[in-house]
Amino acid sequence: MVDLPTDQAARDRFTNEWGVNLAVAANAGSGKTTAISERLAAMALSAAGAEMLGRTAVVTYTKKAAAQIGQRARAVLLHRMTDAGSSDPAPLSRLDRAFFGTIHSFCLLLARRHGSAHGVHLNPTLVDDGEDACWQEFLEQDPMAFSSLSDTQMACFLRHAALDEIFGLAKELNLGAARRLAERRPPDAAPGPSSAVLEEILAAVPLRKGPGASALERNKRTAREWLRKHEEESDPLPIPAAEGSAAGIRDLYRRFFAPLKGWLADAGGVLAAELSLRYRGWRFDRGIQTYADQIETAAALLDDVEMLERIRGEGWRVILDEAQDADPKQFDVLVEISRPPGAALGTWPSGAGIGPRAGHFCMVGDAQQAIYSTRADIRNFQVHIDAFANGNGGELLTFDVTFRTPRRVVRLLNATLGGAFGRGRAYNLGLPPSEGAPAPLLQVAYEPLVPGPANPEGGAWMLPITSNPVDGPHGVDDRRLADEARQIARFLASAGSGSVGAPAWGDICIMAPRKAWLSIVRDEFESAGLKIALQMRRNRNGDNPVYAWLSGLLAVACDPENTFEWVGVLREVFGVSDSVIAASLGSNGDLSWDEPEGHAKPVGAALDVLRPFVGRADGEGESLGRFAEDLAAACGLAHMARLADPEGGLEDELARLLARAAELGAGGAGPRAWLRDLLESTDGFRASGRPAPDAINLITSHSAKGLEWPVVIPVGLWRTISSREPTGLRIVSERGGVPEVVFDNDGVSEDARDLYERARLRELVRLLYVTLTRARGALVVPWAAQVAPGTNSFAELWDLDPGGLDPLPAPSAGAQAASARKGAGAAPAAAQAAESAGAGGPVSAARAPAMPMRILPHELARAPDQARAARHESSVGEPSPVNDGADPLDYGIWWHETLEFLPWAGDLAAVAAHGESSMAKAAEMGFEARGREEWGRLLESEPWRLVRDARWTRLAEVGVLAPLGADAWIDGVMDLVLHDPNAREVWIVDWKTNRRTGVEDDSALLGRLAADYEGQLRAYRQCASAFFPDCPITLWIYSTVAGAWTRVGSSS
Amino acid sequence: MKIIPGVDLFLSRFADSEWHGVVRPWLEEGRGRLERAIVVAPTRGQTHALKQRCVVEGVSLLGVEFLTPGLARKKRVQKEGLRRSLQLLVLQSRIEARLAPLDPGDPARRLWKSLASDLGSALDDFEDLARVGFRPADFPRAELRELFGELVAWVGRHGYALGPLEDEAAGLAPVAPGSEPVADRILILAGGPESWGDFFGLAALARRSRSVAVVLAEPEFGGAGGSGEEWVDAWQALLGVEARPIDRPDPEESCAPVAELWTGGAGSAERAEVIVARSKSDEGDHVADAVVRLLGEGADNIAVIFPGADAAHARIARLMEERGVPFTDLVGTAGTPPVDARIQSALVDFYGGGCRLEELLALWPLLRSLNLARLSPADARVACQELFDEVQAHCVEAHVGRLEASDDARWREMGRVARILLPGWPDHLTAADALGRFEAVRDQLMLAEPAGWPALREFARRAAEPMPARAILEAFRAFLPERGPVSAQGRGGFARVTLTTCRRAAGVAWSDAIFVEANTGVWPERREPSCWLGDETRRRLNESGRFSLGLPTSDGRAAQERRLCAAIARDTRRKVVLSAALFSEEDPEVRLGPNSWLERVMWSKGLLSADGAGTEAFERLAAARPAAGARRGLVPQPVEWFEIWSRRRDPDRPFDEFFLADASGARRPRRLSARQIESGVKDPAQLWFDAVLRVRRVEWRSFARNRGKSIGDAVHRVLAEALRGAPAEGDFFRLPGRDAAGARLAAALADLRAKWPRDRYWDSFHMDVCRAARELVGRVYELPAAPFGAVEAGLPEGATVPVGDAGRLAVSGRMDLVLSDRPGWNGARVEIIDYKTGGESKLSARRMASSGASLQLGVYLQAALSAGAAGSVWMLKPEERPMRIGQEEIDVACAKLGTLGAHLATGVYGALTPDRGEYTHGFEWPLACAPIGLAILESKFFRTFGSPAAGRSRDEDHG
Ligand code: SF4
Repeated sequence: MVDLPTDQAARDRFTNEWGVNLAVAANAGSGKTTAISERLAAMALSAAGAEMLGRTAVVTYTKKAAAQIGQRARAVLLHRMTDAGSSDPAPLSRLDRAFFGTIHSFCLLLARRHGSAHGVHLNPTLVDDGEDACWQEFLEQDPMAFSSLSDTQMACFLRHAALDEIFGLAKELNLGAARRLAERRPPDAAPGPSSAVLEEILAAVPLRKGPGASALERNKRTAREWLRKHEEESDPLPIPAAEGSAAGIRDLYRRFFAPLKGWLADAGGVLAAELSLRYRGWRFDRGIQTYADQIETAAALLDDVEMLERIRGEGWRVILDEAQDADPKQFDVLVEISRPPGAALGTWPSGAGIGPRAGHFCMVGDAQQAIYSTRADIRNFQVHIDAFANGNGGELLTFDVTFRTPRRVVRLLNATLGGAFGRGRAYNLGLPPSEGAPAPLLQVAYEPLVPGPANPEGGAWMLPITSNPVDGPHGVDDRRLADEARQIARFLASAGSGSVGAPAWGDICIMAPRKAWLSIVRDEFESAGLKIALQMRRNRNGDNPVYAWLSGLLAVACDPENTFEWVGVLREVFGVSDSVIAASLGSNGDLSWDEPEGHAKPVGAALDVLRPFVGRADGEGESLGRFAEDLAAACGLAHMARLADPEGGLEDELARLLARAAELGAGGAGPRAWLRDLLESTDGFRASGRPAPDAINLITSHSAKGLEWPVVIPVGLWRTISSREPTGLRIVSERGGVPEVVFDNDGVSEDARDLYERARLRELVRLLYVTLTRARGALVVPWAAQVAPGTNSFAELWDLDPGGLDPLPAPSAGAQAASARKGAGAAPAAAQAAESAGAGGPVSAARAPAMPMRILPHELARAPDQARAARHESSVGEPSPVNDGADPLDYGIWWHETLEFLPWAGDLAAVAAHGESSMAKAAEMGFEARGREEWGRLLESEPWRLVRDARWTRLAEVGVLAPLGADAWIDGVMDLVLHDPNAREVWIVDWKTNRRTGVEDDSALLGRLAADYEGQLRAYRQCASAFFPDCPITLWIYSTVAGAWTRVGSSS
Repeated sequence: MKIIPGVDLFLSRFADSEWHGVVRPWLEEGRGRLERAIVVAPTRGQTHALKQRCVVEGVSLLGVEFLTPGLARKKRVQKEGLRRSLQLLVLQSRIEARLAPLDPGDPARRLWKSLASDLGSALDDFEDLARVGFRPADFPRAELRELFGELVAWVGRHGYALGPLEDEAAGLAPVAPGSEPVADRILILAGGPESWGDFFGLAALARRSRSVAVVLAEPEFGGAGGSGEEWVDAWQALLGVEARPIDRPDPEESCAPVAELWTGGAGSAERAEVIVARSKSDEGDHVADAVVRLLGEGADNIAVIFPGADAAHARIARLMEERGVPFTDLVGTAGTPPVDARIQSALVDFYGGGCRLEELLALWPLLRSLNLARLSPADARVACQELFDEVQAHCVEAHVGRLEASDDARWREMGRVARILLPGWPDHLTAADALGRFEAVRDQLMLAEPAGWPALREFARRAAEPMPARAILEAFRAFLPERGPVSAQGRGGFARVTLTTCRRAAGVAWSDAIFVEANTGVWPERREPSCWLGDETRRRLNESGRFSLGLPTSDGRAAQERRLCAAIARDTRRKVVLSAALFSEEDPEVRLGPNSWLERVMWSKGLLSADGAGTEAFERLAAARPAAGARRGLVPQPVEWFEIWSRRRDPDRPFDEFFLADASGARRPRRLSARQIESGVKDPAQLWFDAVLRVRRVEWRSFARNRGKSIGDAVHRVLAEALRGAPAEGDFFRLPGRDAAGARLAAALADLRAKWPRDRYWDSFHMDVCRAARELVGRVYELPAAPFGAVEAGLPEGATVPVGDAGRLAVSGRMDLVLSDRPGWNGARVEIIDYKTGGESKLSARRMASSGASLQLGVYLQAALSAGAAGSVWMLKPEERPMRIGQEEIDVACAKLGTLGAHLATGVYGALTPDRGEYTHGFEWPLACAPIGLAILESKFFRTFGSPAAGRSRDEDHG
């Protein structure tokens, strides 16, 4: 008997009530994805549900999550089918009909289906948000004229600010903000600085003498002088910054320039909006879309009421996972298409409009895990949740049971996190709407965790850290973190993974909120001899050794005169010493790469290896996939990758890049194109690092979202998590839907700055929640009692009394946590797999004999017979050769076609008519003159007379498939075969349209052709003789140029 | 009544029975007669398999041609249809003609814009329509009716044909009596309803043959949907005979039940085998192993089936070669096209992109490989970079004159080549004009004309109207081979193993079939109908069509794909293998799942119903297989390379001859520039590459404006002009008075403004230059007055600086401005001035001593001292107070020169390259060098030179 979790009723409702809109507030580890999967499985198992699935869109923010949920849903369905003992695969097909994907891909689908009447580009090229190359290209071609400001206004703006101040804002603005900003024109004349404040500045008195005092004097002079120039001159006049800070000069300066900066902010905003809208038009014209554009494009469709109703009419049912990560625009699209026909746009959940149709909109999310405020808006998510909680549009369910977090940790978190999320913390509150009014609570509510019935007791332990003295002016925090990491590493190295309850090193995860911290931890752990797997979401491609090696190798193969890259290749790929390299270079830094013998041995050997690839870089008929494999093999890259990274991460990278090369090569790309492809992505980022059973995981808290480990150790809890204030012209908030632009940080009010900081801290609390809820077995908290937590550190945000934590018990406790590891023994399936693979099974039957060789005669000849090849079945779909100029392929094909259906036995009129229709074709192809000449030549030739003889049975284009010798078959087509049964004679004729080379006369030409194609014709004869036994076969080669033929291969 | 003499129509259930019951007897019947006999099979896969079967069974043939429908069509058709790429060109220009008169904001534009962005799909839809007897008028949208109506009219008016319409006419109309037949005997293996598009073409062939036999897939096996029946009906109607089943017993063994798991039916996974590998590359290894194993078990005809010519195919082909397994490759390996063709493609890019530097550079190495350009790609890049820095624009055309007139030979070479390629194209021109331009350039470069090009010339002759240049270029591109033939093993031979695709494998009897990449999302392909002819419309048209052949819907296509796989399984005797991977190296974060067929097979085998069904089971299967690399015995061996690699990364080992060191000392620089010294002290790696090896890095990123740098350059230039007075002696001149300098500055600025375009961007740029230049001139005249000056003067001849253990080092450099009390160095009192227009740099003895900041200026002063002068050095910034170091503090300030001396004396340089931030980077190493963390470098540096690297802390950044 299995115990059910306490929230089972809610879970059942979510699974079975398809006619109701449900929002689920789900705690960490409560099985969000599984719940959605159960709902989908239940639908797939019922006929009625299946009907709905065809119009169901299961969407989420990331590709990874979208792939996961699709697979999870199928897995659950299969499980249910097995439970039911069913053998009918129909439910699987039903589930196939649902849409699984990212919100972006869903929007793209809507746009592609419905966008044609709106001028939507239906095959857009996707670029990353903020992509720079595109922006630069736009800037260069833009006319850089602005109509939103008058000439005077423009002059004023440029007098005090550089035009490129607006670029950053213009590039990032979304459509709505751009439109709103565009309407906010500044007053005609810019206000000057405040002269009242100038008085204050001039009156300022320094507290004491010294450098501060003289700076103050200069500040006064600057301000006065500035004002004078402003009034009297028209030269460019940027706004100066105050020097030093004596006598509150910074604030005085801020106030002094505030009116002007305010005007500049407005003017800059309007300009940015104008440029942004132009950029948008330019992008759309070229079919370039950012991720944000994809959403906006779909949203724009919905602005058209008719279109909105049509899409609503399709009856989409939306299931949104990780809803807290979706941004407001995405919510808009998903909500609007699921609302009933006639509902006015934008009237739900804010407004009095009616919500989504029953059963058409479900969402699952956890506000406590909202850690992407840069894109998502937690308030927007809350608004939707609140609507459901009030029964407006649907109902709210809560999954508070976690199947992950062990009981001890649950107790700890419930006791200590409530405060961090609560009213008691100033950062959780907003500013009071009016004097004396209560401040609103802006943090999401902490939902106490409830352990699932099978959750282990687990551990929540303190690992005591000694605080060693750390001093020096710089990097104190870095060194303290290093010290902490060193102690943890030493402890683990000496006590083993079991000491924290982990069966293997790979079951431990070290977590920190910042990437840079992890690098410090890595260094210390590695120094302690521990193996680590640092998993990063954003690693620069060019920093990956394999990527670097291949880029360098290709760079020298494609430009061998680039000595700089040679040096890199020699030292890095071939391990040549720099001294030897230095000795190999000429005095001007040149390298005689094509004379390996002239160099010291290691350099010469490396050049020997690479020289053939230089030759292949521009080769014709080079398969890039092969080139890449050869290059990697020649340099031993696989071996190097394995040595440098025994976990196989680098080998994966090698496999990925070789696959990429093969992919490009399939489209005909060569080494240069591959190099270009690599270089274009060198500065791009990829996730890297992968877990291994014997390596401790290092991962940032952000990346850890959605993952879990038996043991989690958060580090640097005491350390201040700082943030960098953005700079320059930008939007600081949208008050009442109106974007507020500031010229620089002086424009950000104290209130605004405070609100930002509060929001940041609220998000840090949520990040802390994510960090602490990743453990399946034990949470180990390193703690130095003597160290006071830094401001805005995790420790400060967390109400933890480390005294309340048990110290890490002696190693025996490890067994407990080990039991938390799931699915360790899966022997049956594994065994089955091995069996079905049948590796090494007994060889039951005899090996089938080898096949004979296939000989394509057109490939036998010394010179390729391209006309023949082009008309053979074996070349269908194969790339065609380029004309080599001397013997145009098109002409050869035309000649063969002309001769194929020639009425050999017809009268002169029939022959002439046939000739004319062929000439018409030749005219289209542009070689009528030559065709006519050679056609005429044929009709007057001796061969023509002989071939037309009535004694013959003739057949043109005679396929032959027959054995040639013992182990080969020939597969070809003969141009013309003549058979005289009475005279027991067979002739085989081959047409050649090759041109003369140089001053060749007829006999030289015929001689050359005979020599080149004799092999081909002899092969024909050998095969044909089986069909015409006892019958001599004569071979002829007819040259259209000479109008004559020659006999080939004297005897049969 | 039979309308064609000697007509037979068969229904086939199994490829094997078809062979024995129809094909082989038909082939043997003609033996010994010199007659034209043609076998038409749906794809090259079937023709190849038939030949191979003949070889295996010793059936030799004379006078029989095996053709695909496309090749067979050429036997019949005289008039070439208008190529697809040219149809697209006509359509595109018709659309442009409609857009031209409309206002940018006109809503009428919208649909045309969308249509232009998706013209390929619309043309596909039109072909779908035309192939089954519909016409443009059947499009639901008026715009498409109009547009495609125009296409048909245009084609007719210009003497072209459209393939499907021509086929339909030829297939329906009786042949004129007495006309020459295409063949004496024809055998058409028409397959199932998936070949509906070929119907009229094949019908036309059937009509033009003296005797004809047709074999169709039996509808019962065609699966649900009834289109199988209609397919047979269509043939019966055409040929006027009843179809009859082939009179042969079904083969004893078949894997049909494996497919039934997927297509519906009882089904069984008994003859199925499953391979789940960890990664895609591992999958390749396992599949290659499986092939070897199956051959060992006696498999005599194995199909390895790929979704297309992809990386998996390339990998498996290579693995088969490595394992010595002969195979036939029907998927096709492509190679690069000849250089001539690549150059022409690059020319298309060049004109299409508006003649930009980037495309010129892409062309360059190709031109050079044919000796059409002389500079190395690296030099070409440098020249382009210089041009870009000067003109701040990508367009070549406007600046080609500047290149040609330059006294720099590299610029002239760029100019020479650019001149051949230019001019750029107007937005609209006639095809003949375009062709003329393109061919003129091609002739000048002496490039070969690609096969098929005359058709383009003929088109240009007929189509006189102006067309959009971009569309024309796209049409040109379609005439250039994208891929070239490659001589790879397995091309077209006979073998026991065939690499093939679904379409090419169907209708052939196999012993074993391996379906690779059975991952969800790879195949079956899920196709969205286009928005021009949606599924609903297709269904509606099917009900009202003239012919019973249907327009395929996306469901129909999916069902067809399943049927095709089922047909292959049915014709497979021993075993069907499905292989898949758990993840792709491309995106290791995303777990892949099995496709729907594999999933059903695994389920039926009970592999998914075990505890923790689904994803986990799939993972377990993968885990149960050893990683391919490990099995290949790739065990790490301690090799020299790894030892070196590790030593370079070991923080506890000093820099040695493997880390930027010149053991012999032979390359010790005799002289360094001040700039080299400053950057070399910050990061000795720079010194190593730049001054010791003397190799120069070539940038590969695309050209981007750097406003700050351009402003700096401009300011330096105008200041030099403003301050240069009447010559005095050597580099020195009489410093002009302040007013005179102001006037000259104003003139220089006016000249400068005239060089840039008149727009707000350059207005703003210019204002910044003006402001900075005026400020700086002001600052210069606030310095202690001096009668003489020198601008952009070199350091005195023979100047040296003290470099610790290495004694004194000769130095060079160019100073922005020197003020002096006399026109020479010896005994002079000088103020050396450096302008900075941006950035954070500061000048102070303390900073210079601790981190080498602005050491360049310290070197200037030291050099001046060595030449017998006295004085100080200044950094002037427009917005800040002047900063100064005097000779009294210079020795302390230049402490870092001692470190430089240590490098020079020992020949060991090492590196202190900072870690790369997301937006910042220090010295850029060669591409091949994987970065080594600064912490390690600092530690090594300390162990080598003893002096601790100054306190740097890691940048905070978000994870
Ligand atoms: S052997 Fe052949 S060629 Fe000679 S007569 Fe007999 S059929 Fe004719």
